Amino acid sequence: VNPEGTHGLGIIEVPPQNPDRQYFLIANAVDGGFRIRQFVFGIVRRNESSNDPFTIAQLYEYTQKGKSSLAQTLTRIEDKLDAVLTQGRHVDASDPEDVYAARAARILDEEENP
Amino acid sequence: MKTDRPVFIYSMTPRGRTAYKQFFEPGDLKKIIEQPGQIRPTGWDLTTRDRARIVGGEYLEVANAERKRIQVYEDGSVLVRVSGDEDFLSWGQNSNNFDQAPRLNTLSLIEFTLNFCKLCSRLVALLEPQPREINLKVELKNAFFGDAKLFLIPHLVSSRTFTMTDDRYYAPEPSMMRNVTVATDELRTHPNVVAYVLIRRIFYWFRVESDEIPYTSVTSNGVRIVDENLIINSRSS
Repeated sequence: VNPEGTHGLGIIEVPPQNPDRQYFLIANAVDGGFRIRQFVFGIVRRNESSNDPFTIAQLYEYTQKGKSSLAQTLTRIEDKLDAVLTQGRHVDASDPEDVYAARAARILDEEENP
Repeated sequence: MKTDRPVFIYSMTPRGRTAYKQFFEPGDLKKIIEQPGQIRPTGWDLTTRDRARIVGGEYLEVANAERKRIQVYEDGSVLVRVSGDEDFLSWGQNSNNFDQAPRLNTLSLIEFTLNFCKLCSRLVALLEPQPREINLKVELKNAFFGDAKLFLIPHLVSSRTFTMTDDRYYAPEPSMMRNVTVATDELRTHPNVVAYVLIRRIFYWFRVESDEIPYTSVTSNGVRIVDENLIINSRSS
């Protein structure tokens, strides 16, 4: 603080937050010493010296899928399960003897018309 | 065109998942099926003089009228349709003779089978990953047609027995399918051994009991093979 007591420098320490609890909604915004009353809220991500607000698409994605590592892990597991199940169905539908029979009929021009 | 006359299907199917890379693009695969190779000029081979074309976005095909048709699929499968009548594998008879006494041409059957195995040995080299085993199949349809039954004479085509159509072995059923599973390495390195295995299965179906199949010989290792030198030096029938 200067001798006149008119100017000073303050530090606000923001300790690291638990990643699973992020992101935090902006509840209050202060400008010029006054709290700004808003009818919308949002989320920003700190990037160097700026605050980058999430886009609508990003917000929507996180509300749908969640952001916690557990939710994301579950989503990845689901995706992998879907892939395995799809592959399994594909294999079941492709019995080698059936495939051969269809191809043999084709080369003999004996295919049944749909 | 669908036929009521004898027709063979030779096929190769890799066991397990594999594929030809860049399947539809110009490259070795198209070159091989356009020029499948031969062991002698104007023999019974898979040459079609056709350009490989994509059919239905699903497979490659080359064809020579109704005599020969080759279809290759991305999963490594190859199907070959070949006429079993006097137009190809029963060459050497006119239509009337064939309709009355349909005699398979022993040389054409054995030479074609060898050429098929040699083609497969070149194609499997392009598969990635390399399958451990390959299924080879021979199928015969319409061995009975009209009032006739296809028959085989297990002798050299230059022999009197063949010419006089003695020693006939008739097809026991209207159709036949024989399946052989071979190691990929065996097919790649010894297609003439694999060809013998296939031919023997066909001869057994015709109830030919002897292993003494014409145009075959035994190597110094005691393995019987289809001998391409005997084919090259045979009389063209």
